[in-house]
Amino acid sequence: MSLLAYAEDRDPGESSDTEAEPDALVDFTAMLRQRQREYGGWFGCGSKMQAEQSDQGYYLEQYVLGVLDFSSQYGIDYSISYTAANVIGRPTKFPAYGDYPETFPMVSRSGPCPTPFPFNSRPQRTYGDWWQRAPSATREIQAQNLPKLTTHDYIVVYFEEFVVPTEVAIFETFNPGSVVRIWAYGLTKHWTCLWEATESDLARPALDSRRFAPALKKTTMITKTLRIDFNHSRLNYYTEIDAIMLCGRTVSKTQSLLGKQQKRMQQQTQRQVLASPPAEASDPPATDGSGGPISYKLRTLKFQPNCHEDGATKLHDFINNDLSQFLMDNSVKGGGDLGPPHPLPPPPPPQVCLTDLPFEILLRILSYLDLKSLFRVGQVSRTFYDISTHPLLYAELSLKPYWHVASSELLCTLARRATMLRKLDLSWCGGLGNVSPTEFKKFLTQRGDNLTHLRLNSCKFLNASCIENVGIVCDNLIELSLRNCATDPPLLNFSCLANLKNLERLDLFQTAFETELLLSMLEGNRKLKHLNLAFCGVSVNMDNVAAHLATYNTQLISLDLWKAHFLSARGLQSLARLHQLEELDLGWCLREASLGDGLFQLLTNCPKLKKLFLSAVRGTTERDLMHIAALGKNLEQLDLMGILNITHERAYDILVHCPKLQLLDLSFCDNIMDRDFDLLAEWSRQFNVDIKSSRRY
Amino acid sequence: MPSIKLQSSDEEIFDTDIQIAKCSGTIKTMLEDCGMEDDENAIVPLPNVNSTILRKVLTWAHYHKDDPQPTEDDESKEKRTDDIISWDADFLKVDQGTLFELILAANYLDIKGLLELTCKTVANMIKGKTPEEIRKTFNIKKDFTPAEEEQVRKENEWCEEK
Repeated sequence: MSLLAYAEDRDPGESSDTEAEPDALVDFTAMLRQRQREYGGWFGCGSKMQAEQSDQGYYLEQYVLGVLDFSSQYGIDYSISYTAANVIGRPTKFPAYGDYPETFPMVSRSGPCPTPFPFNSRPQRTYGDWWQRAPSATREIQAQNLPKLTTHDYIVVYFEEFVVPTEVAIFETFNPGSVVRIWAYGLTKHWTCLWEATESDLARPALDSRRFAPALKKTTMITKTLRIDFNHSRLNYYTEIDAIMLCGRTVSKTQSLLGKQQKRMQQQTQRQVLASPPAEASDPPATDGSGGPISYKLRTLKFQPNCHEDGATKLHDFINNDLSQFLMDNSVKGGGDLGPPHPLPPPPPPQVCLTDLPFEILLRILSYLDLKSLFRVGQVSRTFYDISTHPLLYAELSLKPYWHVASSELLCTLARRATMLRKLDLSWCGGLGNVSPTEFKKFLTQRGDNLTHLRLNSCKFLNASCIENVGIVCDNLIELSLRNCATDPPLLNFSCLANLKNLERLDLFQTAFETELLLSMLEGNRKLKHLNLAFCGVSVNMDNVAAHLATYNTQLISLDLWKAHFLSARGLQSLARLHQLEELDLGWCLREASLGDGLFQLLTNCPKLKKLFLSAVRGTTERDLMHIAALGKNLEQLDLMGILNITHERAYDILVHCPKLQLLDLSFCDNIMDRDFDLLAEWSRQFNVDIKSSRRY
Repeated sequence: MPSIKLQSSDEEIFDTDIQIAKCSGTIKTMLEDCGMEDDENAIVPLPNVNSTILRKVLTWAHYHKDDPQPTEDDESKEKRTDDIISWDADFLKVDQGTLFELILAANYLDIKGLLELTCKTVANMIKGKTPEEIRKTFNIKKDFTPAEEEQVRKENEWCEEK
């Protein structure tokens, strides 16, 4: 039974539930339908295996049927199915270890998307902390929200059958060790985190391929959709995923119906409780829905023992998880009703209490809290509510770490509090339709005019009028980031963005853009310092963009043109007039045979260059490499990946003459690879430079 | 090395290295404005800090005497709280009253590093706790009316674990 089928044969009793959030279901199923069409050819690949069957459902091992989303979206000029094909179905390479085009190489916050060709499938800058050391590095907005192990990338995949998950196995075939969280999307339209890595899990990255199947949190939820979070900071090089397996017990029809009934009953009871006047709701535990289903039931039904089927499991569950809470709740209540309270002695009051601290100090303390804790502390008392809603605490807002709970309601609450908002990051939010475009526009209209930073990477709720609003309202923007914002089908209308005149950073990674608009934006934003046009689409004439940059944006510090195919040697000549340039990514650009003297001009005129990526710029000649060695005095990161004719003499020259070099990528430089492999390892030690190659040392 | 005498509220005198004393913006200003730097016998009265707390503050200042001066830029830097070094963590294994008095002292004496450290420590005591746990930890009474409580609960629905 697919999610689609489930959506269609829902019984009418549940319709009220659906109506409450129509977007969620419609979007999700439409997406699924679309993907299913696209992956039609993959259905037959045998993505599941089943063992014994019984009335209780059966144990099932299944592989990915399709990919719903990932952080670094599909390249617009490549077929989407290639991307997904690599992680769909059974492992094709496991247990072999190495860089294989048949796998799913992890893309990253700054990396490109994988494609089927050996070289194209190579992500970059996705390992270690190289991107953080580059001149284009940005600071996280409201960084206190980030978990200890932040997510750099994610992938959302779906399977054929709903199961109660008991195991998730990830087949990592190259540089394993970046999985930090496994999420499952349940029938209740909520994401549940089934597993989270600790620091020690990532401490020693494995050196061989592995079937990574961490112990999952025990759950009774039913799912067929998983999200895997990745953090690449501990990796030596990029990682590749061959396949993902979801195992668990299927749910028989009768059981799932029972489940639905129970859920409906519960919802009704909840609604009744909520509907009752606040005076009667003075028993907070009954209304807040905390604790598990059993403690909830106990509270509402005054505990009527019920020995149905898995009663033992539920009792066990209750004793483990909910008993203490239940006792606490009841003792609190008992205390209120029956006179002198306190089974627990209160802690001796300190001489000075938290509440004795002056307002500005409390404000400072609260400024270190993540958004969730900030909201929770507001629930403590009136004083703390007042402090916790102070506009100064909402000058920066990032819901990216809360992508799974971000909603229209939350935006509405935040709009009231964030009257001094400057920086906003809503990346990754709205994937399940729980943020409506209307609410976003309302938010922007109220709070957008003072915004200086706006990041909407991989936002699922954006439509044409949202973008229009950004252009009209947010005219103080210094930074605008719209990575992976191409919707499917593309309906974004960016023309209003030409209103923006103060941009210093514009990130359009993998977002389709029209040349004319881009040119007028470049002309309008003379203070532009950082521009990312990687993967920005085939329609953009990069030589014209380069000429415009050289004329209007001479303050430019970083420029990413990764896979901007239509840049020629003429464009490179223009770029050489950007004297402030510190970072330039020309990966997969310049597809012609010779670069002329463009690279020489660039290195001569841009002495501040710290990072130069020439991945697969096959026209790079021996002379060019000599220029790099002679002129790249400030180079720290140099990527020569896939330049076939580079020799070990030239590489050595560069190591000797570029004293600040820290990273040198020579993978797929076949001339070097085959003969001088041991030499590379030695040079790496000798020059203290991290030399990357596609093989293991 | 030149030293200076600091006097706590309970009139205890602390002979202190002048460089260490100057990590306090308040003392630094006093010394400079009143020209007390060269006067060996000058006594700086600190009526808002008692001897127990002043001793702790000076211990902290001594350990951190070589820290780089925090710049304005650091103020807006990341607000992460997981960067507390173990010496500081051990130093702050004190009862709440002492912790809050240290905050007040750091604030009064204008010692940015100590103020930041102590505030982060309190923030860490709040993080990840439920409202009830926070009330218990800090002995705070809930004073919402039922209607207010319901409103706050609604605003907070998104951060309840599901």
